[in-house]
Amino acid sequence: MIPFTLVTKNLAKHKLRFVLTVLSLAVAIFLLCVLRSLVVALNAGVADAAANRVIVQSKVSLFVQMPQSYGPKLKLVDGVSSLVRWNWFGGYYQDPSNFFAQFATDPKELFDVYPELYLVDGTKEAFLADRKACLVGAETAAKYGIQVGDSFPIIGALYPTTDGSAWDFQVAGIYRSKKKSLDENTLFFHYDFLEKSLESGAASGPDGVGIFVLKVAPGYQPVEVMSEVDALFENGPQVVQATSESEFQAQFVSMVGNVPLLVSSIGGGVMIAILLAVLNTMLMSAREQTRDIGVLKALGFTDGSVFGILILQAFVLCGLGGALGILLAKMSEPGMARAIGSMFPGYQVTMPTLLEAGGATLAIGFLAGITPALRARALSVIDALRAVR
Amino acid sequence: MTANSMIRLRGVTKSYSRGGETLTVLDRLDLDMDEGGFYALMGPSGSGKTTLLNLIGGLDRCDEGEIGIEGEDIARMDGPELAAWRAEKVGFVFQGFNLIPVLTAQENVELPLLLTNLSRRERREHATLALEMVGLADRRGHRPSQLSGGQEQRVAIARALVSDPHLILADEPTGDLDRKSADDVLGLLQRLNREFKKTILMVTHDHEAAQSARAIVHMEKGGTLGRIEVLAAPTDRGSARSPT
Ligand SMILES: Nc1ncnc2c1ncn2[C@@H]1O[C@H](COP(=O)(O)OP(=O)(O)O)[C@@H](O)[C@H]1O
Ligand SMILES: [Mg+2]
Repeated sequence: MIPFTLVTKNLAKHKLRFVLTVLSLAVAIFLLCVLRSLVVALNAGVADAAANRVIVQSKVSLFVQMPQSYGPKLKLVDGVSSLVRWNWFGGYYQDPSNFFAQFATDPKELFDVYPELYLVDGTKEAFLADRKACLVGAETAAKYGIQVGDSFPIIGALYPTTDGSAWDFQVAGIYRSKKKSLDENTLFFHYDFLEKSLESGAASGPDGVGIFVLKVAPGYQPVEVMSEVDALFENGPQVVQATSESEFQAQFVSMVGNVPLLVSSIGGGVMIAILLAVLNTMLMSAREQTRDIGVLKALGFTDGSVFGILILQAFVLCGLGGALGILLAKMSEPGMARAIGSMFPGYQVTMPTLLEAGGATLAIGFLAGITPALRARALSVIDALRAVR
Repeated sequence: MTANSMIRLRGVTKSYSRGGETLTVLDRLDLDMDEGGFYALMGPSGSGKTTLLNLIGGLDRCDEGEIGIEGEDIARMDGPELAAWRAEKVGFVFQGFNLIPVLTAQENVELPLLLTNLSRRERREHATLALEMVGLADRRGHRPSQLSGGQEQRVAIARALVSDPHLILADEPTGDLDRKSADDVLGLLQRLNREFKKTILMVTHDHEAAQSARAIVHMEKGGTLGRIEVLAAPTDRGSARSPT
């Protein structure tokens, strides 16, 4: 039998102490959710990578371009059903701080190789018809207020125009993606447009292709396609490396260092700090209740009951703080996604994150409550009654 | 005397060890107390009065001997059995009142009833009745800090009697009270004894308080019992009037 009024009233006894502890718990759990969501965002591309796509890049580095002549040769490899080229454009809108990714790519094949891509506005036909047309990710479109039919001038930092003007793209469609393998912040435009501008001398920049993305036909093993591709260009002129899409995405995650480990360490540190704070509060509170515990035992409440009263106080305290933190994390999700979306596309407070935060909350409650609860259980009636208030 | 003995102690020994030294507080103590009696337990400080009361109330354990209460040897009970026994059979009144500070008078009095099968409504009714009996029904919503010492002790008495135990144990219940409040508390105990037939054992070192009882048990230093003095005409504390 646990008198629940005793649980709540003892918690509410020192209002300021109670509120401060709940708030610090809320902040800690909120922070844990945010850190966890950053890792989720980083790994989103890896987790959602398509099994039937093979990425071909220069073996030297991602930043070394491959000859255009590789394209037709790759298309002839057994098991390759279609292929797109990707060239990092590295431009910006109006100001260098307005950063988001732009790629020159093959418009028709794009839809074939990336079936997760779909248009929420505009048409595929309009995009294919106009060489200056582009597709803009819904997040980026929303951020800059870009709509279908607008022109979207991008300054080519990597591919400057000869007269110094901006590249003039016509927005033909706004896209979203059904999977995290493709973020919703990017601008895609015609590879032809880039190629022709370089040829005509209207712009300058690196030659060649950044990466090729191959779609493997059903019934073929991507691993076999990869080894065949590797073998094909073994003797140059440019040695390549073919990887699965998930491996390719993972190399971006590791490029920023071991972020998951770093983030886990920070999160773990925050959890330990908050555990110590809550434990301190619980020990103080339990000490004040020593005599009450003696009274309860004298009245016939069992050792188990007083154990329950104390551990429940820890659980209620942590439950409130944790719930507040989780609520905060969930409510701030759209704002956070907007604020850091271009750096961490796919920022999302997922169910596993929330469950993890809930688990951390319960663990803190348990660890902070168990010591005072065990102590109360073991306390003899007469020792407890002798305690000064 | 033995047939309707409420309390029957045989060979009760209790010692404490402090820093390697053993202090025997009660040494093979025998004692009988009748059902329906009102006993005052007197003796010099440190003679073991509280220790004895705690043993009889099942708050502490003796090293040797039998502690028979209404025919049950509580010295043989384990922890949970003893807790259940306390809840059902004994009401405690302490010198320092020992109300729970965060609870109201009503909630404090209801506390022992949480260990019964009574419904929420019945618990409320019983607690209200007990508070009415000690004349504090109008203070039911007050917390202990909002009550005087005398009022606190009367709430504690209400808590001790609310579950209708046969035995009430009081350890210096008037020790922290002024004369007037002490008289109120003693009057209540007398009334519980006379009207409700509760057996009461009250530790006190106040001779005047002891006169409210029907018999005085004298304890000597070293944990031996002296004589039992039966009072022919106990002081009537006028328990008929409702204390204010
Ligand atoms: N828990 C304890 N540990 C050690 N000594 C104790 C303990 N409780 C009581 N004593 C000692 O036992 C003796 C009797 O104590 P107590 O029963 O409280 O006496 P009284 O109530 O008659 O004043 C005292 O000398 C006291 O110091
Ligand atoms: Mg004493």
